[in-house]
Amino acid sequence: MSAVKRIRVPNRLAAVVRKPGGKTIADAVAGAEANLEAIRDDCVAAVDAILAAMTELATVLKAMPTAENQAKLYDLADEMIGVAAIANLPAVGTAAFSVCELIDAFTERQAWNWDAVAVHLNGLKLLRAMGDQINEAAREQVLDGLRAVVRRVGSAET
Amino acid sequence: MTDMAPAAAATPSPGPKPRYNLENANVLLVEPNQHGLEILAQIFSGFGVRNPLRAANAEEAMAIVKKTELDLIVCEAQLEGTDGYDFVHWLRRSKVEPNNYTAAIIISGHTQMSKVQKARDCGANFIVAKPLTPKVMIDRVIWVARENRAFIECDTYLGPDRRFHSVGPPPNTEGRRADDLPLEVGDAVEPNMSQDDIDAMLQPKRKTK
Repeated sequence: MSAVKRIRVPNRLAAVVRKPGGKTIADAVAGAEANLEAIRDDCVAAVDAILAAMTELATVLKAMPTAENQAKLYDLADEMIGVAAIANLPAVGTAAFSVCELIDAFTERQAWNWDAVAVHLNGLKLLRAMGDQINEAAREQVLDGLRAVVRRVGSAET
Repeated sequence: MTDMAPAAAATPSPGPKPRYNLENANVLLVEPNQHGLEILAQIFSGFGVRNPLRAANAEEAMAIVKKTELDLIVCEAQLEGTDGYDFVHWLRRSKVEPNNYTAAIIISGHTQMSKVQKARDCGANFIVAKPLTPKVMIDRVIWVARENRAFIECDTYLGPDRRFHSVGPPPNTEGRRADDLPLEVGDAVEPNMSQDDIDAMLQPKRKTK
């Protein structure tokens, strides 16, 4: 059994935030939200650029589903998760999360299924194209469909 | 017998809202994607941080850790090369004081199954899931600023105590820490406290001159 040492250290962040001045939590949140609003259009453009890169990569993946190419798709989807919400496209972010789950399931099970990837890319494109025009029921139907695909891959039924 | 506090004190007025000053905080943001880094920078700039330091990968972050005293590190899990978990692991073992004890928050879009244990054991104060919202982020920052967790160092872990509440060692084990108490409560070894003693501990006192 290894020895365990407890170390008490001063909390540097605590000392800094206690200094006079500063913002209330509400003001800090409002300040951050205003800043994010200012870069929203950039984030929409980033979502489109990432989606284009995913589509291009998908062509390569169909012919060469190597672990390296799958990892590239995972990284693009992971990037999309963070940007889509700021672009006010949360459903696109949720679908991107599902892509990550799918690639992770492929890695864990040493599996591969091109159709599952194609379904996800089509779902992403649909959700992006519809934006906030799509109603909640239809959006959830698309996302549920993607989750079902991941579940099937995860349980190796494909 | 102790004096009771004035009646007004029993129903405290809301009072001024607490303020948190991040203006002079040295905050390091580590994020490989340009847009992700910009999002983080805008959030922390909105919180009042004047000049957040930026790094695109673990190597850049390590260089900053070695030359600048930091108050907070926010690091994406998915970095090219050395990932965010390994970076925080390096930070904790780096012996670069005081930065090896600096609060570290990992942000993650998706955590791969193979990295769940790594995430748990890397020594970060918090892991925050993306998409980020300013409210969640400021809550975590304030939480980290308020917390008083000791650091735990052993062969397999160096970082803030992962036990938020003192619940003692797992059942049927002795516990490895000097201050771990046995699960069974033993017989009292001191006389019981009087009611006055208990009152004196619990009731607010009026300051006497």
